[in-house]
Order: sequence, then structure tokens, then C-alpha cells
Amino acid sequence: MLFLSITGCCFLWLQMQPQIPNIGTHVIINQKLSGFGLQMHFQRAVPIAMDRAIKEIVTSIVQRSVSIATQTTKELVLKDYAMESDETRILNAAHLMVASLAGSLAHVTCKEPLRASISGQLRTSLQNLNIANEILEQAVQLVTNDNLDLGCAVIEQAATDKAISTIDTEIGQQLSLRRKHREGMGSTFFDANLYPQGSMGGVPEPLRPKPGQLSLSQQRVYEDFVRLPWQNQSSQSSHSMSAGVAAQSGNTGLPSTNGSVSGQVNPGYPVSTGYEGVSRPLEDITESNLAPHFSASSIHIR
Amino acid sequence: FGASSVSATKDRRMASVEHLVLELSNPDLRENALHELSKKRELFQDLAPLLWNSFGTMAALLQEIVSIYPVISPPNLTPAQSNRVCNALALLQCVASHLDTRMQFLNAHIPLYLYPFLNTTSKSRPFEYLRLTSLGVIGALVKVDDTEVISFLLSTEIIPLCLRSMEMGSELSKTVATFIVQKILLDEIGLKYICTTAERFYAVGRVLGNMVATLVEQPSCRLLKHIIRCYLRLSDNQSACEALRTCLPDMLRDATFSSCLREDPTARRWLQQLLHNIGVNRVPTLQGGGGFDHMMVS
Repeated sequence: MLFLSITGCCFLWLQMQPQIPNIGTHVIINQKLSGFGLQMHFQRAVPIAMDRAIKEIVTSIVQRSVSIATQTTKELVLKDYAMESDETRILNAAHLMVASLAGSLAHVTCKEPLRASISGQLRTSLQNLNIANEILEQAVQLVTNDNLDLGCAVIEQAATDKAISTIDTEIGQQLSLRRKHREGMGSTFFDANLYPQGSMGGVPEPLRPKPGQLSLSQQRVYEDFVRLPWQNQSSQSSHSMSAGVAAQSGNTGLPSTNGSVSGQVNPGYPVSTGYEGVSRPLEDITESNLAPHFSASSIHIR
Repeated sequence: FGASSVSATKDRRMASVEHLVLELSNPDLRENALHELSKKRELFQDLAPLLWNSFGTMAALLQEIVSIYPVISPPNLTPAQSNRVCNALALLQCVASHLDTRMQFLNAHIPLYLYPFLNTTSKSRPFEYLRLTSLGVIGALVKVDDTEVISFLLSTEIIPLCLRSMEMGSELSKTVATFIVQKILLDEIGLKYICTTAERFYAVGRVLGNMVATLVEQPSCRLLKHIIRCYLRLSDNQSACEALRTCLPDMLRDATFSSCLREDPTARRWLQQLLHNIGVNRVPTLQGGGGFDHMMVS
């Protein structure tokens, strides 16, 4: 990469093997392919391609996302819970936040690289089949689009898992320090260093972190991380590994890599068959009343 | 009487701002609070520490940011969603600008959550507005000439992201993105970073050149001024200076932009200095090509 970025990498990065549970049962093999005798080839190729594509990018994406999310979570949670005496609450808030942030960052960052990687892997594995280029390309696009969300969900999950174990290490030390300190003092601990004289002066009473328990509405802010953003999108066809992905597409979950393929390679594939365009429409949404309140003057550059 | 009335007004205003900050942590009241606070942010100079130090406010603002990620690709950002997240970004800009909160803002790596927005390519207004507002946050960070800020940004993907906005953004986005690159270049480590490899220099040089070319059709004096400042700063580096002798657009050497320059003596002076720096009357370097030639992989 031209402008290499190493973003705040301050924890040991352990060799990570992505967990891809039975990806073969989750991949979608579009039924359009069966009309052209390609289905069997794709049944065999897609799970392998998905597995390779994910492995190709998951490590760097997860590393970056977890590194950023961990740092953010550590700073904000320790600041907000500086007066909290129950370490379980702190850790709980940190888990909710770091899982959501790392998962979101990983998902949004991996989408385009993963798209390219899946298509590339599919092309490579199918290039010897003697399929007309144009048809192969359309089929690759179709299958890539069908399975992209699945791959993103796998990477998001990997980031979420890694983030939780990482934040435990990162925050754990600080929390055990607090615990020792509290046990030694026999009183409620709060981190006086976080709020040196005066820095809290401007913050009025209802807005401050307070010693002891937080109000319900305060706790809720961190709990709200659970409903963000891909995890609970009922309106979109986002995949969830646990929710039986294969069922929702109308395609059967097919046995993965070991099926012996009886279908013949069909070189005399009729090119003229109406094959619908597979790429997603990218036209922009209609814009009606976007308030142009971002005027040139408000940006303040010299 | 006068003084106490002023102070009463101030107290009232402050109380209402505090109330709005409190409402930010309630999802049901948040949208309105974002709207009101982003309007008032200029009136209340200590809004930033309030936003930072109050419980859960930064967490709530981050939720606003990441909740938009799912509509980035495929691009489905509605004007209403764009407005709402831009109000949240305006508050982050406030935190980025304030001396007491800037370093904590950086240390929590919050600017990095804006990068997915800068990476978008849709030209629709909601996206254009989103990119512009995100650039505004980064612009607020670099405005203060703090080398720690520059170091942080250089450890991230900020340069390619700015170059992207300089290539495809609106005039205003281009201007803010160029301003950010200018501020990075003006820092010693920023200049060194860009000029460390020929590829980096030419990536920046090519985008600056393309912008100069588009200015012929769509003139913008303020954008031109930032571009000239970037070129002038690049000419402080010897290799870059050599390279500029061949790659500086001719339009900056002739009268193409004379009407803009007539209005702006500072820009005119910078351009004269730039042309002087790369001028032919300088002693050419001894080794053949000079510039970045010795660095290029053949």
C-alpha cells in the first residue's frame, strides 16, 4: 500500500484462524445458475472461494478494527466509569461498546475488499471450465453479490470476538488496580487522576459521572450499543450466522466441498440466453429537501 | 443592571445547553438535541469540555456515526439521515477544535470512525454533505499547527482519503481537503512523509495538477490559493523541487489565473516564490535526472 497505515497497534497480535463454521451450508447458489448447467460447478467452488477470500483479508481488517475500537473503548469507558465501584459494570459496558465498534468498523471496511477477493477467487477456480468469459463474469458477479453479506458477517463476527478478548486484557489490569486500591482503602474508589482539579468544574451535576451507581438512563447509553447497526437490521437481508442463512434465499443449503460433481462441463453454452444484469443498481437516492445549512462560511478555513 | 442582565442571559443559555447535552444520551430525544446543539455550538464556547466530560455523550455520538455505516454501500443515505449524522459530526468538530479536548479526542482514535465516510464515492448531496462535514472535523484538528496531530493523522490513511476528495469532491470539499494536505505539508514531518518516496510525491503532484486543470473551467480563487501553497511548500524539499520543474502545470507559469491572482496579493507572492524556487536560474544538481529519478523503481 502506498500510504501504509499502522494504526495504534499496541497489543500482541496473535495468529488468528478465522472461525468459519460450515460456510458451505450458508452459501447461496443462485438458482439462475442451474438453468445454464453451472450450478454444480459453483456448488463446489463457492465455499472454497469464500473461505479463501475471507482468509485473505480477515487478519488485517480485524487487526485494524480491533485496535481502533479497543483504544476508543478504553478511553471512553474509563472516563465515564471513573467513579463506578462495581468492576463488573465497567467491564460489561466495555464489552458492549468494543464489540459494536469493532464489528461495525470491520464490516464497513471489509465490504469492498471482500467483494474483489471473492470475485477473484471464483474466477481463478473456474477459469479452466471453458465457459464463455462473458457468462462466467456475470455468474461470478451474481454469486459474489449473493454471498458478500455472508462473508462480511463472518469477518464482523471475528472482529467482535477478538475485540472482547482484547479489551479484557487491556482494561483488566486497570480494573484489578482499582480493586486492590479499594480493598486497601476500604472505601469507594474513584479515579481522581482522571479528573484533575478543575476539569470537572464546568460540568454540571446531572451530567457528571457520579460515585456509586449510575442512573438507568446513563446505563442505557452503553446498552444501546447492542442494537447497532447491522446486528438488528430486520428490514435488510443481512446475514446472521446463527439464523439459518440458507433458508432466506429460497436456495437450499448445499453440501459443501466434498460432493462429487456429476454435471458435465458444458462448452456449448448458449450465449444468447437472456441473462439478467446482476450488478446492483447504484443510482443515487432521490434528494428532496436536504437543508443546505452547511454554508461556505461555516467551515472556517483561512 | 446591564451586567446582571447579561449574566442572567448567559446562565439561561448555559442551562439550556446543559439540558440539551443531557438529552443526547436519550435515543428518543437525541435527534432534536443534535439539531439544537449544532445550531448553538458557536454561542457556547465551552461546549466541547461539556460534551467530552459528561457521561455517555461521546458514546452516544459514536453510535450516531456507526449507525450510518450500513447505508454507505450500496449508497442509500437519505437527506434526513445525512442531516442527523452531520449534526453529530458538527459536535465532534467542536470537540476537535477545543484545546482542552483535542488530544483526548485523538487519543480515543475518534477521527478514524469518519474515514468510512471519506471513502465514499457517491456524488449525491447527502453523501457530498457527509464527506464535507467529516473533512471539517479533520480540518479543525489540523488548523492549530500541532505536530502531534499531524503525527497521528500520518499514522492513518488520511492522505489517500484527502486525495480522493480532492479528485472527486465538490469545490468546497476539494478546498477543505487541500487545506488539510497543506497543513500536513507545512509540518516538518508531513513534508518528509510525502517526499519520502517518489510514489507518494507523484500521487500528490498528480492530484494537484488535475485540480489546476479543472480550475480553468471552474475557477475558484480560494482553492487555487491552497493549491499554490501546497506546491510552494513541496518546493522546500529538494527532490520535490527538482521534480516540480517538470511537473508543475504550465497554467501556473502563464497568465491563466491572472484574474484570481490580481485579487489576492498573498497568493500572488506565494506563486512568485514557487516559480523562483524552481526557477531555471538555480544551480542544477550534478547527478543526471535530479528530483525523484534516483528513487523511482525502474
